[in-house]
Amino acid sequence: MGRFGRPTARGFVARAAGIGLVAWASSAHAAPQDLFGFGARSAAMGATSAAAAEGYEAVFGNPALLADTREKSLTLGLNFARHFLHADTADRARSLPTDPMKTITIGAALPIPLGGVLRDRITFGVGFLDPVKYLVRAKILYPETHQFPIIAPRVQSLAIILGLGARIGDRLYVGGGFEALAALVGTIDIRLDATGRVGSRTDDQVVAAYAPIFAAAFDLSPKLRLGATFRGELIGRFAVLIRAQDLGIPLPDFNVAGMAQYIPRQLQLEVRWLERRTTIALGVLARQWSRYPGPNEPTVSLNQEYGTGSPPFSAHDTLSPRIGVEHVLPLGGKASLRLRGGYIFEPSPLDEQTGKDNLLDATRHVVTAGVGVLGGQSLPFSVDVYAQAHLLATRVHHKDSESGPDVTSSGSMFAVGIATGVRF
Amino acid sequence: MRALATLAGVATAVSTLAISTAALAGPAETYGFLSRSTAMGGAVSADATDVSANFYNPAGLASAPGVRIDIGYMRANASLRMNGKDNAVDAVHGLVFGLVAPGKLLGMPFAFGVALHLPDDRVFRVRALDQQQPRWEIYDNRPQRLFFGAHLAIQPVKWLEIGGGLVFLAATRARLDITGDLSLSDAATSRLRHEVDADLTSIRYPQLGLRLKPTDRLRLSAVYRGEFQLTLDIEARLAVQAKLRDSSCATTLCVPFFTYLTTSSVNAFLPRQVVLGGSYDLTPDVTLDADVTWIQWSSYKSPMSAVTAQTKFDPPPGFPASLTPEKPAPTVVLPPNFQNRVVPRIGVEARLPLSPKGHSLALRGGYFYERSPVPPQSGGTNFVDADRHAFSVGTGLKLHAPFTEMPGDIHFDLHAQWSYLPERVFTKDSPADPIGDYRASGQIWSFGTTLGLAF
Repeated sequence: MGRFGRPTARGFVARAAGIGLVAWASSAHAAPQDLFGFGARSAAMGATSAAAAEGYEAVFGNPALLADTREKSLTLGLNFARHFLHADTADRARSLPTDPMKTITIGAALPIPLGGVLRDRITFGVGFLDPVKYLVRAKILYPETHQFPIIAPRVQSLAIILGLGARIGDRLYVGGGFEALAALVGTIDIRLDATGRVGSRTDDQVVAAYAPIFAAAFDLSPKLRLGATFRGELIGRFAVLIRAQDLGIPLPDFNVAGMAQYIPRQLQLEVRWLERRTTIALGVLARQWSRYPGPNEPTVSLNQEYGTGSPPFSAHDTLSPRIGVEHVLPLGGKASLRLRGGYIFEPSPLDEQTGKDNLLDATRHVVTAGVGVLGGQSLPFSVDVYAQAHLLATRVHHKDSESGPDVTSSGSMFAVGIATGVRF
Repeated sequence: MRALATLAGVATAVSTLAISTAALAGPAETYGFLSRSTAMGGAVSADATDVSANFYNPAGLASAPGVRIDIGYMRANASLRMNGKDNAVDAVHGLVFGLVAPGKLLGMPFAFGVALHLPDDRVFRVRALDQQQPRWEIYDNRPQRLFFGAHLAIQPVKWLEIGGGLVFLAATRARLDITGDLSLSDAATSRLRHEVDADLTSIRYPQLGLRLKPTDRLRLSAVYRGEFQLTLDIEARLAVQAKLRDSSCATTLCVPFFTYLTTSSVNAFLPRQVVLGGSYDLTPDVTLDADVTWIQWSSYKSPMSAVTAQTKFDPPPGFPASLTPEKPAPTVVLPPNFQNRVVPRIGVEARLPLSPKGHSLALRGGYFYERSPVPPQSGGTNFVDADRHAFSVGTGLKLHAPFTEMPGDIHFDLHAQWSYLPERVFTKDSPADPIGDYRASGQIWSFGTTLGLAF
């Protein structure tokens, strides 16, 4: 077994090539924009965006930079990803079944044609990340079940992002917006009707959860730009209370609940250097995972001490450095070819699992690459493709004497995507 | 390269048209969308070229004169009564927002539009009541949901506009698994755990619109909206050890107890619709609109939950009979048998110039009549409804280039709508019916305002 788990060179290539074939199957995933970045260009450049975002991608990366976009644009993207995750014990090699991810990205940028001192200064942006099959998916497993709750199929969720960017003076950009996702709450009351038939009163609601985005960027010089983006905590809970008091046996109210989706509060700081045809972005993303309460909640509300795993869930904050590079090659004056690459170091927010729980995770190394074609004024289109390889470091979880054999976690994740855009 | 550009542009536009989006037209269908169109009775399928075209006829987006952004708020308060007693039907209120961005794509007029009605309280609600529980089926839960639309429109020739998109909504499916120890002596101290595997699944349907402009003063329209529904299917499996201490508390009886519950319901049903409309400029400043909407209510699904419960429990001799679970029969859902309806709508707008700079004031009015699709409720169901006469008025102030930074127009629009539901009597076949005969009537007030920026 290699340093990064199971993949060998041949396996790596075969799996990467296989993504396109398997990605059209059904799906599930953790918040894709947090895992892969938002938009094909950002995903190819190591998810850098706080100082380097362009076009509609800035709505997530740094809404302030929307103000740099002066043409109306509409972009459609397709994204696929596949996990290969393992949790082995001394007597058993275990591959964890994981649904592939398939999402659609839709983005639009709309410069607001104001006049006077506000001319060419304000742009509105909108982004949708739409899972092809699901709007929301919640998969909350028993804590002792081997699982990767940070990166694997905990949820697949529709994300809607709106933002507004403004340029103040010649160097300062400010912006804001919000992310929204859906959560499900409700009650189901099982009861017998007057004729003795079983029926129910159901009142379930899909409610929206919102997180603010605040951002700023400053051009220290024509070549050097600093960017900062703050994103609030985004919580999508699944909570259904089931009452069944008419079945002739005393049953408690069942609080079937858990954290279906969690994106921690985060701050992204970045510097972008533009040298003729080459852009380099270097940044760090701080995530406040310590506020994450864990995926499980008690089933019986009056017995809070049971049902949330052992030992109590904990996570710690992380700092994720990243770098992205883009080089532009002219194509006959009417278009340009853009070559992109990047790297992300993602430390794990979860500790070694020494008890009965198996909420697994490990340090992740992410290598990204991509290519794009951007048309000029006479060819108002763009095509971008990207690929990412996420390699999880092998990690041994040494169990205490009452919690079974040690578990070795490892794995990888691959993502590819394509986006086409028009300007009008 | 030009061919590649054309291909990419068309692929993006068509793909976005096919894959994106709109969802859940409930509140717009019942109370209108944005103040101008609501004030005109919703009879604007041939006339709407602003943000409201996202709902009424996306083809109209192609005629938008420029970029426009609208934001506003609406509220509808219902006072619906049975036997003279108010049934406390929930108010509908929320933020409305939208934009339209026209332009040219490879020389062809093209527009992209987004519209949103976001309820204050929720994205949408699925509610299923007992079969015999009376409920105002059209107004109680159906408008309690998001409307979100993104559409494309093109103008291939000067007299024809085509627009559309796919609408999506969510069907909920959940599998719940509960295990552990169930305490029959004190249920609250039970040691139970659960697993959840749930999803809201996207379901898509088409929405298409055409707009014809045979003369400068006349516009004709046709709109098709597909059928949709919210489904909720939940399976709950309870596999526990039921534990009971004997009277001396010396020993514990431990019996495996298995229950498998399923509940399935349909909510927020929106029937298939076809709209034909016309808009005619009586003078340069007065426009008369009319729409006729065919609504396929006959395919309406009952919102009643179909529930099944299976239990397996084999208590040992001496186990208290009072703690032995029932084995109830499953629900039988009765069909609603709604009837198809045609809804006529009419609206008028008069625009009064206020100054040579281009400021103007618009006065609007509208009316529509919805005959109730609900049949007599003489049996086991109680879908309460009555015919609806809806009268609306509104006004709009347009300020043209009011200051240097705003070279376009600022629009302030207001509307009010009063719906009158005359009394309807429901008579039961059986004198022993637990609900009995009843009378239903009511009124609904709806208000809204919109601020628009047009460039």
